[in-house]
Amino acid sequence: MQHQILPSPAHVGLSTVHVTLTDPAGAPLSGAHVNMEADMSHPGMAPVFFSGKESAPGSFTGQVDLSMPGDWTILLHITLANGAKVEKHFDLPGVLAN
Amino acid sequence: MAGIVPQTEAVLFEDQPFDLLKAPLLGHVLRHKTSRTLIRLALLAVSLMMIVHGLFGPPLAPKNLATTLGWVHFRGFLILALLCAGNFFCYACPFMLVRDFARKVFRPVLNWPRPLRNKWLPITLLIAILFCYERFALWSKPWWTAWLIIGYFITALAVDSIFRHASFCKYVCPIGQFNFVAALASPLEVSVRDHQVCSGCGTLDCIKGTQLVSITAPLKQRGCELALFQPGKASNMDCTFCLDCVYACPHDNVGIIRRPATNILSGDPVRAGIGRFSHRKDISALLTVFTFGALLNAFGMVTPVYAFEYWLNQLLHIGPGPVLAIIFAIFLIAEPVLLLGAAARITKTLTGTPRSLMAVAVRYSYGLVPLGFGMWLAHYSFHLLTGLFTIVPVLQSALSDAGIPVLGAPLWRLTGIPVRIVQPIQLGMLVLALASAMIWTHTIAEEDEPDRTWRAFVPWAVVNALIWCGAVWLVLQPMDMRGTFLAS
Repeated sequence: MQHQILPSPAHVGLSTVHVTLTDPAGAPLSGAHVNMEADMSHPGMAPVFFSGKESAPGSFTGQVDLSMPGDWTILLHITLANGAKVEKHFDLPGVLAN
Repeated sequence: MAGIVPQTEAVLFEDQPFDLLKAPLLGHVLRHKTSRTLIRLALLAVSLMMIVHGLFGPPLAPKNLATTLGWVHFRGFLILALLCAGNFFCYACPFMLVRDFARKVFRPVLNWPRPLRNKWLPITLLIAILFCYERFALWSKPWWTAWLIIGYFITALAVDSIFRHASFCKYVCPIGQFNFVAALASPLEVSVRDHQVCSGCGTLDCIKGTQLVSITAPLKQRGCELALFQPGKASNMDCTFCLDCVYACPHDNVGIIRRPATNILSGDPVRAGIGRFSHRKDISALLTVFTFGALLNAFGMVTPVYAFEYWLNQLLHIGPGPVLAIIFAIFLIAEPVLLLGAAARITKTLTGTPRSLMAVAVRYSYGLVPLGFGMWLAHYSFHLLTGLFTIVPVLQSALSDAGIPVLGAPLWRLTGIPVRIVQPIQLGMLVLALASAMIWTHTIAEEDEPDRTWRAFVPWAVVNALIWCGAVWLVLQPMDMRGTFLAS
Protein backbone atom coordinates (compact mmCIF):
# COMPACT_ATOMS: atom_id res chain seq x y z
CA MET A 1 0.00 0.00 0.00
CA GLN A 2 1.17 3.51 -0.81
CA HIS A 3 -0.39 6.71 0.42
CA GLN A 4 -0.18 10.44 -0.13
CA ILE A 5 -1.77 13.42 1.63
CA LEU A 6 -2.40 16.76 -0.04
CA PRO A 7 -1.59 19.41 0.95
CA SER A 8 1.64 18.24 2.49
CA PRO A 9 2.26 18.97 5.31
CA ALA A 10 -1.41 18.63 6.18
CA HIS A 11 -3.28 21.55 7.72
CA VAL A 12 -6.55 21.80 9.64
CA GLY A 13 -9.40 21.69 7.13
CA LEU A 14 -9.94 19.67 3.99
CA SER A 15 -7.19 17.31 2.91
CA THR A 16 -7.11 14.76 0.14
CA VAL A 17 -5.98 11.22 0.88
CA HIS A 18 -4.68 9.10 -2.02
CA VAL A 19 -4.19 5.38 -1.43
CA THR A 20 -2.84 2.85 -3.89
CA LEU A 21 -3.48 -0.83 -3.22
CA THR A 22 -1.49 -3.55 -4.90
CA ASP A 23 -1.20 -7.29 -4.51
CA PRO A 24 2.12 -8.91 -3.50
CA ALA A 25 3.12 -9.04 -7.16
CA GLY A 26 2.56 -5.30 -7.53
CA ALA A 27 -0.63 -5.52 -9.60
CA PRO A 28 -3.32 -2.93 -8.73
CA LEU A 29 -6.22 -4.22 -6.60
CA SER A 30 -9.22 -2.80 -8.38
CA GLY A 31 -12.85 -3.22 -7.42
CA ALA A 32 -12.25 -2.84 -3.69
CA HIS A 33 -14.40 -0.77 -1.33
CA VAL A 34 -12.28 1.50 0.84
CA ASN A 35 -13.76 3.24 3.87
CA MET A 36 -11.39 5.58 5.63
CA GLU A 37 -11.30 6.91 9.17
CA ALA A 38 -9.14 9.63 10.71
CA ASP A 39 -8.44 9.47 14.47
CA MET A 40 -6.46 11.80 16.69
CA SER A 41 -3.75 10.45 18.96
CA HIS A 42 -5.51 11.88 22.03
CA PRO A 43 -8.56 10.11 23.47
CA GLY A 44 -11.82 11.99 23.76
CA MET A 45 -11.87 12.97 20.10
CA ALA A 46 -14.42 11.64 17.65
CA PRO A 47 -13.10 9.93 14.53
CA VAL A 48 -13.82 11.41 11.11
CA PHE A 49 -15.25 8.92 8.62
CA PHE A 50 -14.95 9.29 4.86
CA SER A 51 -14.92 6.99 1.87
CA GLY A 52 -12.42 6.49 -0.90
CA LYS A 53 -13.51 6.47 -4.52
CA GLU A 54 -11.57 4.48 -7.08
CA SER A 55 -10.07 7.06 -9.44
CA ALA A 56 -7.88 4.56 -11.34
CA PRO A 57 -7.43 0.77 -10.99
CA GLY A 58 -6.27 0.18 -7.41
CA SER A 59 -6.08 3.91 -6.69
CA PHE A 60 -8.51 5.42 -4.18
CA THR A 61 -9.09 9.05 -3.25
CA GLY A 62 -11.02 10.52 -0.33
CA GLN A 63 -11.45 13.91 1.28
CA VAL A 64 -11.14 14.34 5.03
CA ASP A 65 -11.91 17.36 7.19
CA LEU A 66 -9.18 17.44 9.86
CA SER A 67 -10.71 19.38 12.72
CA MET A 68 -7.70 19.98 14.98
CA PRO A 69 -3.95 20.35 14.77
CA GLY A 70 -1.87 17.50 16.14
CA ASP A 71 -1.13 13.86 15.39
CA TRP A 72 -3.66 11.83 13.42
CA THR A 73 -3.86 8.23 12.28
CA ILE A 74 -5.68 7.20 9.11
CA LEU A 75 -7.39 3.81 9.25
CA LEU A 76 -8.41 2.01 6.09
CA HIS A 77 -11.25 -0.52 6.23
CA ILE A 78 -10.86 -2.35 2.92
CA THR A 79 -13.22 -4.89 1.40
CA LEU A 80 -11.50 -6.53 -1.57
CA ALA A 81 -13.30 -7.55 -4.74
CA ASN A 82 -13.32 -11.17 -3.54
CA GLY A 83 -15.06 -10.14 -0.27
CA ALA A 84 -12.00 -10.44 1.93
CA LYS A 85 -11.65 -7.71 4.56
CA VAL A 86 -8.33 -6.01 5.27
CA GLU A 87 -7.47 -3.32 7.83
CA LYS A 88 -4.53 -0.97 7.23
CA HIS A 89 -3.39 2.24 8.83
CA PHE A 90 -0.78 4.95 8.52
CA ASP A 91 0.19 7.88 10.71
CA LEU A 92 -0.38 11.49 9.79
CA PRO A 93 1.77 13.33 12.31
CA GLY A 94 1.92 17.04 12.99
CA VAL A 95 -1.17 18.38 11.24
CA LEU A 96 -0.69 22.14 11.41
CA ALA A 97 -3.06 24.88 12.50
CA ASN A 98 -4.18 27.30 9.79
CA MET B 1 -47.94 29.52 65.44
CA ALA B 2 -47.29 27.47 62.39
CA GLY B 3 -44.49 28.63 60.11
CA ILE B 4 -42.69 30.62 62.78
CA VAL B 5 -39.49 29.07 64.00
CA PRO B 6 -38.77 29.76 67.69
CA GLN B 7 -35.76 32.07 68.06
CA THR B 8 -33.51 29.53 69.80
CA GLU B 9 -34.21 26.96 67.08
CA ALA B 10 -33.52 29.53 64.39
CA VAL B 11 -30.18 30.42 65.98
CA LEU B 12 -29.32 26.75 66.24
CA PHE B 13 -30.19 26.24 62.59
CA GLU B 14 -28.02 29.16 61.53
CA ASP B 15 -25.13 27.87 63.63
CA GLN B 16 -25.14 24.48 61.99
CA PRO B 17 -23.11 24.45 58.78
CA PHE B 18 -24.11 22.11 56.00
CA ASP B 19 -23.11 18.53 56.80
CA LEU B 20 -23.14 16.09 53.88
CA LEU B 21 -23.49 13.13 56.23
CA LYS B 22 -26.82 14.59 57.39
CA ALA B 23 -28.12 15.07 53.86
CA PRO B 24 -31.25 12.98 53.24
CA LEU B 25 -30.12 10.27 50.83
CA LEU B 26 -26.41 10.72 50.16
CA GLY B 27 -25.64 11.17 53.85
CA HIS B 28 -27.37 7.90 54.65
CA VAL B 29 -25.39 6.10 51.94
CA LEU B 30 -22.04 7.59 52.96
CA ARG B 31 -22.51 6.77 56.65
CA HIS B 32 -22.54 3.08 55.82
CA LYS B 33 -19.10 1.50 55.55
CA THR B 34 -20.49 -1.00 53.04
CA SER B 35 -21.06 1.87 50.61
CA ARG B 36 -17.32 2.62 50.60
CA THR B 37 -16.52 -1.02 49.89
CA LEU B 38 -19.10 -1.19 47.09
CA ILE B 39 -17.86 2.01 45.46
CA ARG B 40 -14.26 0.80 45.69
CA LEU B 41 -15.30 -2.55 44.20
CA ALA B 42 -16.95 -0.74 41.31
CA LEU B 43 -13.81 1.32 40.67
CA LEU B 44 -11.67 -1.80 41.00
CA ALA B 45 -13.79 -3.44 38.30
CA VAL B 46 -13.37 -0.36 36.09
CA SER B 47 -9.59 -0.39 36.74
CA LEU B 48 -9.33 -4.05 35.78
CA MET B 49 -11.35 -3.36 32.64
CA MET B 50 -8.95 -0.52 31.76
CA ILE B 51 -5.93 -2.75 32.35
CA VAL B 52 -7.26 -5.58 30.21
CA HIS B 53 -8.34 -3.28 27.38
CA GLY B 54 -5.11 -1.29 27.62
CA LEU B 55 -3.00 -4.42 27.28
CA PHE B 56 -5.07 -6.37 24.78
CA GLY B 57 -7.45 -3.86 23.15
CA PRO B 58 -6.97 -1.51 20.20
CA PRO B 59 -3.64 0.37 20.27
CA LEU B 60 -5.32 3.61 19.16
CA ALA B 61 -5.97 5.80 22.22
CA PRO B 62 -9.42 7.18 21.22
CA LYS B 63 -10.67 3.60 20.83
CA ASN B 64 -9.30 2.22 24.08
CA LEU B 65 -10.91 2.25 27.53
CA ALA B 66 -7.59 2.70 29.36
CA THR B 67 -6.75 5.98 27.67
CA THR B 68 -10.29 7.30 27.24
CA LEU B 69 -11.38 6.62 30.82
CA GLY B 70 -7.99 7.40 32.32
CA TRP B 71 -6.99 10.60 30.55
CA VAL B 72 -10.41 12.06 29.76
CA HIS B 73 -13.06 10.95 32.24
CA PHE B 74 -11.16 10.01 35.40
CA ARG B 75 -9.18 13.26 35.50
CA GLY B 76 -12.21 15.36 34.59
CA PHE B 77 -14.57 13.90 37.17
CA LEU B 78 -11.81 13.93 39.80
CA ILE B 79 -11.28 17.67 39.48
CA LEU B 80 -15.02 18.38 39.32
CA ALA B 81 -15.59 16.34 42.51
CA LEU B 82 -12.85 18.36 44.20
CA LEU B 83 -14.49 21.58 43.04
CA CYS B 84 -18.02 20.67 44.09
CA ALA B 85 -17.39 18.62 47.23
CA GLY B 86 -14.03 17.25 48.30
CA ASN B 87 -11.52 14.45 47.96
CA PHE B 88 -14.01 11.74 47.03
CA PHE B 89 -11.71 10.02 44.57
CA CYS B 90 -9.40 9.01 47.42
CA TYR B 91 -12.53 7.83 49.25
CA ALA B 92 -13.29 5.56 46.30
CA CYS B 93 -9.66 4.53 45.69
CA PRO B 94 -9.54 0.91 44.44
CA PHE B 95 -5.88 0.56 45.45
CA MET B 96 -6.94 0.69 49.11
CA LEU B 97 -9.41 -2.13 48.61
CA VAL B 98 -6.66 -4.39 47.29
CA ARG B 99 -4.31 -3.21 50.03
CA ASP B 100 -6.83 -3.95 52.77
CA PHE B 101 -7.36 -7.41 51.33
CA ALA B 102 -3.62 -8.04 51.17
CA ARG B 103 -3.22 -6.91 54.76
CA LYS B 104 -5.26 -9.90 55.82
CA VAL B 105 -2.21 -11.89 54.74
CA PHE B 106 0.72 -9.49 55.20
CA ARG B 107 0.71 -7.73 58.54
CA PRO B 108 3.01 -4.71 58.21
CA VAL B 109 5.20 -4.14 61.24
CA LEU B 110 7.53 -1.32 60.17
CA ASN B 111 6.87 2.38 60.45
CA TRP B 112 7.58 4.60 57.45
CA PRO B 113 11.21 5.83 57.70
CA ARG B 114 11.40 9.10 59.58
CA PRO B 115 13.55 10.93 56.95
CA LEU B 116 10.82 10.24 54.38
CA ARG B 117 7.93 11.53 56.48
CA ASN B 118 7.43 14.56 54.29
CA LYS B 119 6.30 15.45 50.77
CA TRP B 120 9.65 15.45 48.98
CA LEU B 121 9.31 11.88 47.65
CA PRO B 122 5.74 12.34 46.31
CA ILE B 123 6.73 15.73 44.83
CA THR B 124 9.49 13.93 42.92
CA LEU B 125 7.05 11.25 41.80
CA LEU B 126 4.48 13.84 40.74
CA ILE B 127 7.09 15.61 38.62
CA ALA B 128 8.23 12.24 37.23
CA ILE B 129 4.67 11.40 36.15
CA LEU B 130 4.21 14.81 34.54
CA PHE B 131 7.56 14.38 32.78
CA CYS B 132 6.78 10.86 31.52
CA TYR B 133 3.33 12.01 30.42
CA GLU B 134 4.94 14.55 28.07
CA ARG B 135 8.08 12.62 27.15
CA PHE B 136 6.35 9.40 26.18
CA ALA B 137 2.94 10.88 25.19
CA LEU B 138 1.22 8.59 27.68
CA TRP B 139 -2.19 9.93 26.64
CA SER B 140 -1.76 8.22 23.28
CA LYS B 141 -0.52 4.85 24.58
CA PRO B 142 -3.10 2.43 26.00
CA TRP B 143 -0.49 -0.23 26.74
CA TRP B 144 1.65 2.13 28.83
CA THR B 145 -1.43 3.56 30.52
CA ALA B 146 -2.40 0.04 31.58
CA TRP B 147 1.10 -0.53 32.96
CA LEU B 148 0.91 2.75 34.85
CA ILE B 149 -2.23 1.49 36.60
CA ILE B 150 -0.62 -1.90 37.28
CA GLY B 151 2.47 -0.13 38.63
CA TYR B 152 0.26 1.89 40.93
CA PHE B 153 -1.42 -1.24 42.30
CA ILE B 154 1.93 -2.98 42.83
CA THR B 155 3.50 0.05 44.55
CA ALA B 156 0.52 0.60 46.85
CA LEU B 157 0.51 -3.09 47.75
CA ALA B 158 4.26 -3.26 48.32
CA VAL B 159 4.50 -0.09 50.42
CA ASP B 160 1.51 -0.83 52.61
CA SER B 161 2.40 -4.51 53.00
CA ILE B 162 5.70 -3.48 54.54
CA PHE B 163 4.84 -0.26 56.33
CA ARG B 164 2.08 0.36 58.82
CA HIS B 165 -0.78 2.87 58.59
CA ALA B 166 -1.51 4.65 55.30
CA SER B 167 2.13 5.23 54.37
CA PHE B 168 1.43 5.00 50.64
CA CYS B 169 -1.34 7.63 50.75
CA LYS B 170 0.51 10.06 52.98
CA TYR B 171 4.10 9.75 51.79
CA VAL B 172 4.11 8.23 48.30
CA CYS B 173 0.96 8.57 46.18
CA PRO B 174 1.33 11.46 43.67
CA ILE B 175 -2.39 11.44 42.81
CA GLY B 176 -3.17 11.63 46.51
CA GLN B 177 -0.91 14.68 46.94
CA PHE B 178 -2.59 16.33 43.96
CA ASN B 179 -5.96 15.68 45.61
CA PHE B 180 -4.79 16.90 49.03
CA VAL B 181 -3.65 20.23 47.60
CA ALA B 182 -6.73 20.72 45.42
CA ALA B 183 -8.98 19.79 48.36
CA LEU B 184 -7.61 22.80 50.27
CA ALA B 185 -9.94 24.77 48.00
CA SER B 186 -12.85 22.30 48.23
CA PRO B 187 -16.02 23.40 50.00
CA LEU B 188 -16.33 20.33 52.27
CA GLU B 189 -14.05 19.03 55.00
CA VAL B 190 -14.18 15.93 57.19
CA SER B 191 -14.40 17.67 60.51
CA VAL B 192 -15.61 17.58 64.10
CA ARG B 193 -19.21 18.67 64.55
CA ASP B 194 -18.94 19.86 68.12
CA HIS B 195 -15.52 20.34 69.76
CA GLN B 196 -17.08 20.25 73.23
CA VAL B 197 -18.02 16.62 72.65
CA CYS B 198 -14.36 15.84 71.82
CA SER B 199 -13.08 17.57 74.94
CA GLY B 200 -15.10 15.11 77.01
CA CYS B 201 -13.92 12.06 75.03
CA GLY B 202 -11.43 9.79 76.75
CA THR B 203 -11.19 6.98 74.22
CA LEU B 204 -9.95 8.91 71.15
CA ASP B 205 -11.46 6.35 68.82
CA CYS B 206 -11.13 8.62 65.79
CA ILE B 207 -7.36 8.18 65.90
CA LYS B 208 -6.88 4.95 67.86
CA GLY B 209 -9.75 2.97 66.43
CA THR B 210 -12.53 1.27 68.31
CA GLN B 211 -13.86 -2.17 69.05
CA LEU B 212 -17.16 -3.04 67.49
CA VAL B 213 -19.24 -5.93 68.70
CA SER B 214 -20.60 -8.21 66.02
CA ILE B 215 -22.63 -11.36 66.36
CA THR B 216 -19.73 -13.63 65.50
CA ALA B 217 -16.64 -11.89 66.79
CA PRO B 218 -15.39 -8.52 67.97
CA LEU B 219 -14.16 -6.40 65.06
CA LYS B 220 -11.79 -3.50 65.23
CA GLN B 221 -12.72 -0.31 63.42
CA ARG B 222 -9.49 1.46 62.65
CA GLY B 223 -9.02 5.14 63.34
CA CYS B 224 -7.31 7.63 61.03
CA GLU B 225 -4.31 5.97 59.42
CA LEU B 226 -2.94 9.32 58.32
CA ALA B 227 -2.50 10.56 61.89
CA LEU B 228 -5.16 13.25 61.57
CA PHE B 229 -6.57 13.47 65.10
CA GLN B 230 -9.97 15.00 64.44
CA PRO B 231 -10.07 17.67 67.18
CA GLY B 232 -6.72 18.99 65.91
CA LYS B 233 -7.48 18.66 62.20
CA ALA B 234 -7.81 22.01 60.47
CA SER B 235 -7.75 21.49 56.70
CA ASN B 236 -8.14 18.84 54.03
CA MET B 237 -4.37 18.36 53.75
CA ASP B 238 -3.57 14.63 53.97
CA CYS B 239 -7.25 13.70 54.35
CA THR B 240 -8.33 10.88 52.05
CA PHE B 241 -12.01 11.22 52.99
CA CYS B 242 -11.88 7.51 53.88
CA LEU B 243 -14.33 8.22 56.72
CA ASP B 244 -12.64 5.78 59.12
CA CYS B 245 -12.92 8.52 61.76
CA VAL B 246 -16.65 8.81 61.05
CA TYR B 247 -17.13 5.07 61.48
CA ALA B 248 -14.95 5.00 64.61
CA CYS B 249 -16.38 7.94 66.55
CA PRO B 250 -18.76 6.53 69.18
CA HIS B 251 -20.36 9.96 69.60
CA ASP B 252 -21.30 10.39 65.93
CA ASN B 253 -19.39 13.66 66.13
CA VAL B 254 -17.56 13.70 62.79
CA GLY B 255 -19.22 15.04 59.67
CA ILE B 256 -18.39 16.21 56.16
CA ILE B 257 -18.92 19.85 56.83
CA ARG B 258 -18.99 22.94 54.64
CA ARG B 259 -16.39 25.48 55.57
CA PRO B 260 -15.02 28.62 53.94
CA ALA B 261 -11.82 27.73 52.13
CA THR B 262 -10.02 30.76 53.61
CA ASN B 263 -10.32 29.12 57.06
CA ILE B 264 -7.05 27.33 56.39
CA LEU B 265 -5.29 30.70 56.16
CA SER B 266 -6.36 31.92 59.61
CA GLY B 267 -3.49 31.81 62.05
CA ASP B 268 -0.88 29.13 61.95
CA PRO B 269 -2.10 26.46 64.35
CA VAL B 270 -0.39 23.14 64.97
CA ARG B 271 -2.41 20.85 62.73
CA ALA B 272 -2.84 17.21 63.68
CA GLY B 273 -0.58 14.97 61.61
CA ILE B 274 0.95 17.95 59.80
CA GLY B 275 2.28 20.53 62.24
CA ARG B 276 2.39 24.21 61.38
CA PHE B 277 2.02 25.03 57.71
CA SER B 278 4.68 27.72 58.14
CA HIS B 279 7.21 25.03 59.11
CA ARG B 280 6.41 22.79 56.15
CA LYS B 281 8.61 23.88 53.24
CA ASP B 282 7.82 20.55 51.60
CA ILE B 283 4.08 21.30 51.52
CA SER B 284 4.82 24.77 50.15
CA ALA B 285 6.94 23.15 47.42
CA LEU B 286 4.07 20.77 46.69
CA LEU B 287 1.64 23.69 46.29
CA THR B 288 4.10 25.41 43.98
CA VAL B 289 4.58 22.32 41.80
CA PHE B 290 0.80 21.87 41.76
CA THR B 291 0.30 25.44 40.52
CA PHE B 292 3.12 25.77 38.02
CA GLY B 293 2.68 22.14 36.95
CA ALA B 294 -0.86 23.04 35.88
CA LEU B 295 0.51 25.61 33.45
CA LEU B 296 3.27 23.30 32.28
CA ASN B 297 0.91 20.38 31.66
CA ALA B 298 -1.34 22.58 29.51
CA PHE B 299 1.67 24.18 27.78
CA GLY B 300 2.62 20.70 26.56
CA MET B 301 -0.51 20.60 24.41
CA VAL B 302 -0.53 23.91 22.58
CA THR B 303 1.12 24.89 19.33
CA PRO B 304 3.83 27.29 20.65
CA VAL B 305 5.48 24.55 22.71
CA TYR B 306 6.64 22.80 19.55
CA ALA B 307 8.34 25.90 18.20
CA PHE B 308 10.01 26.41 21.59
CA GLU B 309 11.17 22.79 21.73
CA TYR B 310 12.51 23.00 18.19
CA TRP B 311 14.32 26.25 18.98
CA LEU B 312 15.95 24.69 22.06
CA ASN B 313 16.86 21.62 20.05
CA GLN B 314 18.54 23.70 17.35
CA LEU B 315 20.25 26.00 19.83
CA LEU B 316 21.73 23.38 22.10
CA HIS B 317 21.90 20.37 19.76
CA ILE B 318 20.37 18.08 22.37
CA GLY B 319 17.80 15.33 22.20
CA PRO B 320 14.13 15.34 23.19
CA GLY B 321 14.71 14.18 26.80
CA PRO B 322 17.14 16.98 27.72
CA VAL B 323 14.94 19.53 25.91
CA LEU B 324 11.98 18.52 28.02
CA ALA B 325 14.12 18.48 31.17
CA ILE B 326 15.13 22.08 30.46
CA ILE B 327 11.51 23.09 29.95
CA PHE B 328 10.58 21.43 33.26
CA ALA B 329 13.48 23.15 35.02
CA ILE B 330 12.38 26.53 33.63
CA PHE B 331 8.71 26.13 34.55
CA LEU B 332 8.93 24.18 37.81
CA ILE B 333 12.10 25.62 39.32
CA ALA B 334 13.39 28.83 37.72
CA GLU B 335 10.03 30.54 37.19
CA PRO B 336 8.63 29.84 40.69
CA VAL B 337 11.92 30.73 42.41
CA LEU B 338 12.11 33.97 40.46
CA LEU B 339 8.48 34.99 40.94
CA LEU B 340 8.05 33.92 44.57
CA GLY B 341 11.53 35.08 45.53
CA ALA B 342 10.99 38.54 44.03
CA ALA B 343 7.53 38.88 45.62
CA ALA B 344 8.89 37.80 49.01
CA ARG B 345 11.79 40.27 48.75
CA ILE B 346 9.44 43.16 47.85
CA THR B 347 7.05 42.16 50.65
CA LYS B 348 9.89 42.25 53.15
CA THR B 349 11.02 45.65 51.92
CA LEU B 350 7.54 47.19 51.89
CA THR B 351 6.36 45.81 55.22
CA GLY B 352 9.59 45.53 57.17
CA THR B 353 8.58 42.09 58.41
CA PRO B 354 11.35 40.38 60.40
CA ARG B 355 10.46 37.02 58.84
CA SER B 356 12.98 35.37 56.57
CA LEU B 357 12.59 35.46 52.80
CA MET B 358 11.79 31.75 52.80
CA ALA B 359 9.18 32.12 55.56
CA VAL B 360 7.38 34.84 53.60
CA ALA B 361 7.45 32.77 50.40
CA VAL B 362 6.19 29.66 52.22
CA ARG B 363 3.34 31.59 53.84
CA TYR B 364 2.12 33.29 50.66
CA SER B 365 2.50 30.19 48.49
CA TYR B 366 -0.89 29.08 49.86
CA GLY B 367 -2.46 31.95 47.97
CA LEU B 368 -1.46 30.24 44.70
CA VAL B 369 -3.64 27.18 45.28
CA PRO B 370 -6.84 28.57 43.68
CA LEU B 371 -4.92 29.53 40.53
CA GLY B 372 -3.36 26.09 40.19
CA PHE B 373 -6.72 24.51 40.86
CA GLY B 374 -8.36 26.78 38.28
CA MET B 375 -5.84 25.86 35.59
CA TRP B 376 -6.13 22.12 36.23
CA LEU B 377 -9.90 22.55 36.23
CA ALA B 378 -9.90 24.47 32.95
CA HIS B 379 -7.56 21.93 31.31
CA TYR B 380 -9.22 18.73 32.50
CA SER B 381 -12.72 20.15 31.95
CA PHE B 382 -11.78 20.85 28.34
CA HIS B 383 -11.00 17.19 27.71
CA LEU B 384 -13.95 15.95 29.77
CA LEU B 385 -16.55 18.24 28.23
CA THR B 386 -15.36 18.05 24.62
CA GLY B 387 -15.05 14.25 24.86
CA LEU B 388 -17.84 13.58 27.36
CA PHE B 389 -19.76 11.03 25.32
CA THR B 390 -16.81 9.35 23.61
CA ILE B 391 -16.79 6.72 26.33
CA VAL B 392 -20.09 5.36 24.92
CA PRO B 393 -18.75 4.14 21.54
CA VAL B 394 -15.47 3.00 23.13
CA LEU B 395 -17.42 0.86 25.61
CA GLN B 396 -19.73 -0.41 22.85
CA SER B 397 -16.70 -1.31 20.77
CA ALA B 398 -14.91 -3.02 23.68
CA LEU B 399 -17.98 -5.13 24.45
CA SER B 400 -18.44 -5.99 20.78
CA ASP B 401 -14.78 -7.03 20.54
CA ALA B 402 -15.30 -9.20 23.62
CA GLY B 403 -18.20 -10.95 21.90
CA ILE B 404 -20.95 -9.35 24.02
CA PRO B 405 -22.44 -6.62 21.82
CA VAL B 406 -25.22 -5.83 24.32
CA LEU B 407 -24.91 -2.08 23.75
CA GLY B 408 -25.15 -2.33 19.96
CA ALA B 409 -22.86 -0.98 17.26
CA PRO B 410 -20.45 1.79 18.32
CA LEU B 411 -21.85 5.28 17.86
CA TRP B 412 -18.53 6.88 16.89
CA ARG B 413 -20.14 10.18 16.09
CA LEU B 414 -20.84 10.82 19.78
CA THR B 415 -18.38 13.39 21.06
CA GLY B 416 -19.18 16.07 23.59
CA ILE B 417 -19.73 19.79 23.95
CA PRO B 418 -18.28 21.94 21.13
CA VAL B 419 -15.05 23.82 21.83
CA ARG B 420 -16.75 27.18 21.13
CA ILE B 421 -19.00 26.54 24.17
CA VAL B 422 -16.32 24.97 26.38
CA GLN B 423 -13.77 27.77 25.94
CA PRO B 424 -15.93 30.49 27.59
CA ILE B 425 -16.60 28.05 30.45
CA GLN B 426 -12.83 27.60 30.85
CA LEU B 427 -12.32 31.37 30.90
CA GLY B 428 -15.07 31.70 33.51
CA MET B 429 -13.27 29.11 35.65
CA LEU B 430 -10.05 31.08 35.37
CA VAL B 431 -11.77 34.36 36.33
CA LEU B 432 -13.16 32.69 39.46
CA ALA B 433 -9.74 31.20 40.17
CA LEU B 434 -8.10 34.64 39.99
CA ALA B 435 -10.77 36.15 42.25
CA SER B 436 -10.26 33.31 44.77
CA ALA B 437 -6.48 33.64 44.63
CA MET B 438 -6.75 37.38 45.28
CA ILE B 439 -9.08 36.78 48.25
CA TRP B 440 -6.77 34.09 49.67
CA THR B 441 -3.72 36.29 49.24
CA HIS B 442 -5.46 39.30 50.78
CA THR B 443 -6.58 37.14 53.71
CA ILE B 444 -2.97 36.11 54.35
CA ALA B 445 -1.77 39.71 54.05
CA GLU B 446 -4.50 40.92 56.40
CA GLU B 447 -3.69 38.18 58.89
CA ASP B 448 0.07 38.76 58.85
CA GLU B 449 0.27 42.50 58.33
CA PRO B 450 -2.89 44.12 59.71
CA ASP B 451 -1.31 47.59 59.52
CA ARG B 452 0.35 47.16 56.13
CA THR B 453 -2.07 44.82 54.43
CA TRP B 454 -1.91 46.43 50.99
CA ARG B 455 1.88 46.65 51.01
CA ALA B 456 2.01 42.91 51.69
CA PHE B 457 -0.78 42.13 49.26
CA VAL B 458 0.34 43.99 46.13
CA PRO B 459 3.50 41.98 45.25
CA TRP B 460 1.58 38.73 45.51
CA ALA B 461 -1.38 40.14 43.62
CA VAL B 462 1.05 40.90 40.78
CA VAL B 463 2.32 37.29 40.92
CA ASN B 464 -1.27 36.04 40.80
CA ALA B 465 -2.03 38.32 37.85
CA LEU B 466 1.04 37.16 35.92
CA ILE B 467 0.22 33.49 36.44
CA TRP B 468 -3.37 34.17 35.46
CA CYS B 469 -2.32 35.92 32.24
CA GLY B 470 -0.23 32.86 31.40
CA ALA B 471 -3.21 30.60 32.07
CA VAL B 472 -5.57 32.66 29.90
CA TRP B 473 -3.02 32.75 27.08
CA LEU B 474 -2.75 28.96 27.27
CA VAL B 475 -6.52 28.44 27.19
CA LEU B 476 -6.82 30.68 24.13
CA GLN B 477 -4.16 28.71 22.22
CA PRO B 478 -5.41 26.06 19.78
CA MET B 479 -5.09 22.57 21.24
CA ASP B 480 -2.37 20.74 19.35
CA MET B 481 -1.97 17.18 20.52
CA ARG B 482 1.31 15.97 19.15
CA GLY B 483 3.88 13.59 20.39
CA THR B 484 6.02 13.62 17.30
CA PHE B 485 9.04 15.51 18.59
CA LEU B 486 9.32 14.69 22.27
CA ALA B 487 7.62 11.33 22.23
CA SER B 488 9.50 9.99 19.28
